[in-house]
Amino acid sequence: MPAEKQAMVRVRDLYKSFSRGSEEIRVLQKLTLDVPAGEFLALMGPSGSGKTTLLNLIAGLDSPTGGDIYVDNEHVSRMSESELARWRTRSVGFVFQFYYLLPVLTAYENVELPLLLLPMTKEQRRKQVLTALDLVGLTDRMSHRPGMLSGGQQQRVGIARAMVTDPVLIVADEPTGDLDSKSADEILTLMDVLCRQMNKTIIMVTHDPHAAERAMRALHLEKGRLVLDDDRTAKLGQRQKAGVA
Amino acid sequence: MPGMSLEFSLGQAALALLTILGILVGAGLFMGLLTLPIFFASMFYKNLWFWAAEERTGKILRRSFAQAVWTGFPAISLFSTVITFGYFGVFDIFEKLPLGKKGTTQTLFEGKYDDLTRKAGEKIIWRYPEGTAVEWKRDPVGGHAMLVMDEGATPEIIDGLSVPATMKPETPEEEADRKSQLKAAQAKARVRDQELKKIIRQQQAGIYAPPPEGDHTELSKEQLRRLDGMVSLVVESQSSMQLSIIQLIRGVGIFFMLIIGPFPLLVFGFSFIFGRRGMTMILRSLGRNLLRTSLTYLAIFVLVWVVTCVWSVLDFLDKLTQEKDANMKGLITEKYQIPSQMKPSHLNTIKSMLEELPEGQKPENIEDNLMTWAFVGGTLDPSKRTPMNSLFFFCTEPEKVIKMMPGLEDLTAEQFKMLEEACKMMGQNPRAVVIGHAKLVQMNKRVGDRIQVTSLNYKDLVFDFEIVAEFPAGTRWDQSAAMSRKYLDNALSEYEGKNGKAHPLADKCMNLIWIRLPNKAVFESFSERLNTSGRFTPAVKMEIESSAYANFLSPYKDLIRFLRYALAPGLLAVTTLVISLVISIGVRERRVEMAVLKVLGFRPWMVMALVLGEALLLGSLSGFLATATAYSLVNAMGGIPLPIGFFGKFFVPASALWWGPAIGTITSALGTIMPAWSARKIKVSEVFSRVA
Repeated sequence: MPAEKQAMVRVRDLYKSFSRGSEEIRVLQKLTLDVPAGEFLALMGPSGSGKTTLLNLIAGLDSPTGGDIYVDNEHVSRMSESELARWRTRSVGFVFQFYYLLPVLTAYENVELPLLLLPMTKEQRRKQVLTALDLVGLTDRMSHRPGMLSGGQQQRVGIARAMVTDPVLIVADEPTGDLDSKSADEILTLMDVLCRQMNKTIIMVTHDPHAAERAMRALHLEKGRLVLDDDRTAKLGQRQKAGVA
Repeated sequence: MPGMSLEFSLGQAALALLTILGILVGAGLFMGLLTLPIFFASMFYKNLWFWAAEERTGKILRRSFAQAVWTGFPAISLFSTVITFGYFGVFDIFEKLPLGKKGTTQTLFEGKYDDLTRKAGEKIIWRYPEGTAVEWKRDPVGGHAMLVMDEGATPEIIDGLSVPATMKPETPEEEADRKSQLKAAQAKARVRDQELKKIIRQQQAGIYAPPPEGDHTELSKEQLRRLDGMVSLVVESQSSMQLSIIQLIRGVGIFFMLIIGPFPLLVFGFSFIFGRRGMTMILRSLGRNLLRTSLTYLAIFVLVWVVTCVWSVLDFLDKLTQEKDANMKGLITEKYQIPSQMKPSHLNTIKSMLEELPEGQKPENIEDNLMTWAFVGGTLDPSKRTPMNSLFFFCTEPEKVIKMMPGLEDLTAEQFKMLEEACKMMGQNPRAVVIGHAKLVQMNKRVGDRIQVTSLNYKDLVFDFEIVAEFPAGTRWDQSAAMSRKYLDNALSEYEGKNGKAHPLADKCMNLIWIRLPNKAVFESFSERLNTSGRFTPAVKMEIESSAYANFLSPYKDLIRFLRYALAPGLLAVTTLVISLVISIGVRERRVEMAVLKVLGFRPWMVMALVLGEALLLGSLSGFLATATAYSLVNAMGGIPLPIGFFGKFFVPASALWWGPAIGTITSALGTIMPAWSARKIKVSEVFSRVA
């Protein structure tokens, strides 16, 4: 890890298991990793490898069975549910595969949702929402409901919603999974901008090698273990096949 | 009343109750469907305001419209709320008024509103001026023409053709023949009325058809009477039409002011506490599945409608049996016999006992605080007696009615005046009777008609009455009638004169005596004296009005208990289950959405509040619409028909306007607790791992 980049996300001996009757199923096995600030990280691996579980744990959507997680020096794995909820509002932006915009709200209102939980005036909220929508290029569609937007547009609204609170970390679970290649490319470009120009730390789960290529670094998981850490910072821009060590 | 052959047995009442419940549910469904657009319009009204609150972009016209809505809607709602609150006496709540009495503000608001609606009604539909009449002597030709037109189209002929002539079932041919004759008679009557209206208009304009030259037949007294009767009918029909329009305007006006007044104001107010965005989400979520929302609305509407009607009956009966502290009214009846049949001379004994009371305990004017009742049952057709042609008279002193009659506090100022006029006419003419509006419609009679009533309990007495007025529609006397005590006394004297002996009921023709005393202490002491005086044969007893009603209602207590403790709670329980099911389905469908809200940082209680908020808004608005409709419509149509004792009809009280939202809200809340709790407990990681 470059010495000048401090770790935004630190995971130490993380493990997660679920009980199914008398059986204990281990999803993650003693995982340790660091994600520097401003890095665009791709998590890859076959189904059931634990990548979504890892993402959920880092984003504070679930609690680990053991180990520690630090995000921006906050000990996330020790927080209570209400503390996690408050922390997520301020610090994490989530981008979903299926966008999950609220169908009864307009694009503007969807983006504004996280800000309603923060102590802000109406004018402050408005300013931030318009900035976020401007960044994703959807100011002219802000009065439209999700049903009137294309898949790509909905995902852009999702990204705007994820970054409207100016979080330190953006997590994305298969953000291009439901999009055509053109829209997917637009989304990835946007995420690139967020990372490089706004220094956001992005962790993205993906099956798509083309999406993974846009990341600075790719981690491969298999059966809950880290099997390959592919730092592409130097090789970014070239097309390479991901391999298993 | 026992012995009158007009009472309903418990079995009949139970069967009637089941039928009425079926009708209530059917009516509730029908009204629910009819008010569904109003429900969605009401949601739209509120949604529009929330839109206007946020609208800051767009063309100037759009922004101006938004600004007008943002300020205008709450102003309209506030105005409507003030009117409706004033109308229903909310501002008099701290005046500590006796039960049934209206406060100053309510009287003012009600008066102004009734005045305004009356003027509006008079503009929409005219009526003939007071005292409209036709001078037939100046238009004998017209008179004769009317008489010819009237032949075959008199009200009696039309009435006769409206029902089969005999109890024997008609053949289809006979039925078709009768109906075609009826149609022809009705058509003839319409033509006659049109011509009559022309004559009235002409005479009002001072135009009189010149009598033909030569010999022409003058109109006889009987013919003039018939013609005047026709004119009265036409004038009365026009007045009734105007009155109906006025009542409709009043009912609809209040209904819509209730819809756009207090309820939206409450929602607007709550948005300042709970946030506009939250309220917006709730309102819009109710619109996402219109079918489900509509069905839930209908379920709550029908529940609240039926419960309101049932509780209106119970509320009325509770009020009757509730003791009043001051100006206590009591009933004096025979002690050991039902039905009570006291001697007329008992009245004088009671008067002298009242005179013996010390000052301070004695009523100021004894005559004004006593009223006798005799119950007289009769039929218009002794050979074919039906409930439609039978009626029940309160035989009393007309001048005492507006001083002592129970239920006067239910009347509006206008209705009280009408009753006062009617009693005056009865006082001037012993033949005069006043019959309830609903009863008149049932018998197909009108004010101005003369009727012959064969008494059922006063055997061999046939009464010749003139209907001079009707009891105001929508009051508790809608099915009853009142006759003058003087007439009965004269009839009994005539019987004695004719037959050489007194009528068997001559010495038993006082069924009860109403008495009013200053307070409970006087009441109790006088009651004690009366019960033990030994001056009455047969012996009498005195009881408070409320106790007397309670005793009278005791045969119906099982029915009342069923209504209160089984039916209403049963309906509430079933609807709660239905709502619970519907909301559970909704929550299951929206699991992912709720998980997303949690991801964004919404606390579990916020997610729960959204689910509860939707249910509470739906429940309270549905309940409110149900009671507003029941109050406006049921009362306008003359009340809930339920044969409990001699109470023919029951009315929805104004207090139902808060029961309805309360029942709807509580039912929705109870039904939503479990699904809302499960929404609160949604685990984000589980939801998304399943989705993945």
